[in-house]
Amino acid sequence: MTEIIKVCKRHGELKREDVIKQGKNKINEARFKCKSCMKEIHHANYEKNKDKIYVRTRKWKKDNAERLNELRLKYYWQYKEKDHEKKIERDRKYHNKSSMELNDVYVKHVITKRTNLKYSDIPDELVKLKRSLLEAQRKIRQNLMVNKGKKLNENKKC
Amino acid sequence: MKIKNAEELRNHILRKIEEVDSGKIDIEELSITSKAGETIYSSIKLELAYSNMRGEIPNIDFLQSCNKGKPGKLLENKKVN
Repeated sequence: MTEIIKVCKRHGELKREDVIKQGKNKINEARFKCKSCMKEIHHANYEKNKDKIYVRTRKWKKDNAERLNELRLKYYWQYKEKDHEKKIERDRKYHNKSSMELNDVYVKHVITKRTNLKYSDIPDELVKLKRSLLEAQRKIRQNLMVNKGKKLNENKKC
Repeated sequence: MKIKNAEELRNHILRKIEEVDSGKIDIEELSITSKAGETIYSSIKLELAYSNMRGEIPNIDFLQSCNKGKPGKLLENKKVN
């Protein structure tokens, strides 16, 4: 069981994951602040000084272009592999789902494959037509597979 | 049977699929319909691709007749120069 570190007036007893470290006090003990209270304060502060912050960050980015590039590259190489695996998994999940449901994006992808057409060029009627054709093709393929299985079973019995 | 537009063709295919499910017709009949539908679809796609390549507005009667009196979506979206 985790220890209670701080008691907040609004959020009650707080554990380690609900607090932020905030320096040390006079007798060299660590000080903590409530995470959700601080989040609200920071958000209110940001909303109040939005324009100033925007100008300041723009200026910093302009002045420190090289440093920004370095940081971006560092982040890129640090998370590349991790993000890449995640991305592949996410894409695979989405592709499987869309191909099962035959949604508009998937059907448009099938239609525009190996053509110079864009998704916006394809009329809805053509999408609906292609969807019904794909359904029919799947039905035929399914039927063929069942028949093949039956034939193989018969051959085994003989 | 004469099919006039894409909507009719779609309904025809879906009806055939239902009939196959219920066991009224054989799967071969569905495959014949599907092949015919695929031929029509590929010719429409070709026409669409050609008109896109030429930078023209595609004017395909087989698709536009589905809108029943309304202008085709393609004509609505693309402005005529």
